[in-house]
Amino acid sequence: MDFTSPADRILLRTVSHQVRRVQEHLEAMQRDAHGAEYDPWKREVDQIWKATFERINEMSPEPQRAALEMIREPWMLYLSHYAVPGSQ
Amino acid sequence: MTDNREHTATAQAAIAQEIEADLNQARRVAVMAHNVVIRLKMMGLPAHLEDDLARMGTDLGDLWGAQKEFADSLHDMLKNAHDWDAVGDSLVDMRSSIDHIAWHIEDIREPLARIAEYAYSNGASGNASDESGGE
Repeated sequence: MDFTSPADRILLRTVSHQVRRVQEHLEAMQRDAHGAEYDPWKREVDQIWKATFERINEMSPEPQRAALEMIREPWMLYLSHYAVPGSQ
Repeated sequence: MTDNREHTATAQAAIAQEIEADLNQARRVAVMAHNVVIRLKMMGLPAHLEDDLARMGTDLGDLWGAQKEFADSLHDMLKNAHDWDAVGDSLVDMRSSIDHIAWHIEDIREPLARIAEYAYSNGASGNASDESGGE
């Protein structure tokens, strides 16, 4: 039996796509770490994280807990390697 | 409550496993973005447009990658979605691509317009007095 509401399933899957997209953009950032494209990639990743937290905020409690667990590792990794969103 | 929590965690794990980063495609997108930047730099785009160029290059690279992702999701729904759960997954996948594309469509407008203006003003039929094409 499926306990997760359709709205929460949409949000969970969307967040999963956003995490994937962050990982893919970090790959591009690493490739251009000293290049002109680094800042635009980072700006987009910051925007994706912002949108991710907005989606998580819309979830009901149980899916929200699962989503926070899903993003915990990549978010901590991002904070430790790329500083806070919006910084250069 | 416990069942609900376990089910949600299981569903989350299944989604995470299904939606994995495609790092090879990410590298191809980065190369495409870099090629745009290098191409216009080699043609003599002036330094004051470099930030616009970097932004436009990454937008174009990502749009190029996102349209493939969208096409794959659409194709997947038409070929492989035999139940409503699968249709829902494909539609959310497409929605995710559409949101991504929409962000880049908005982001690229201004830098693209400024560089296009520069291109026309330095082309053979433009108003530029400098025939070398640069500044």
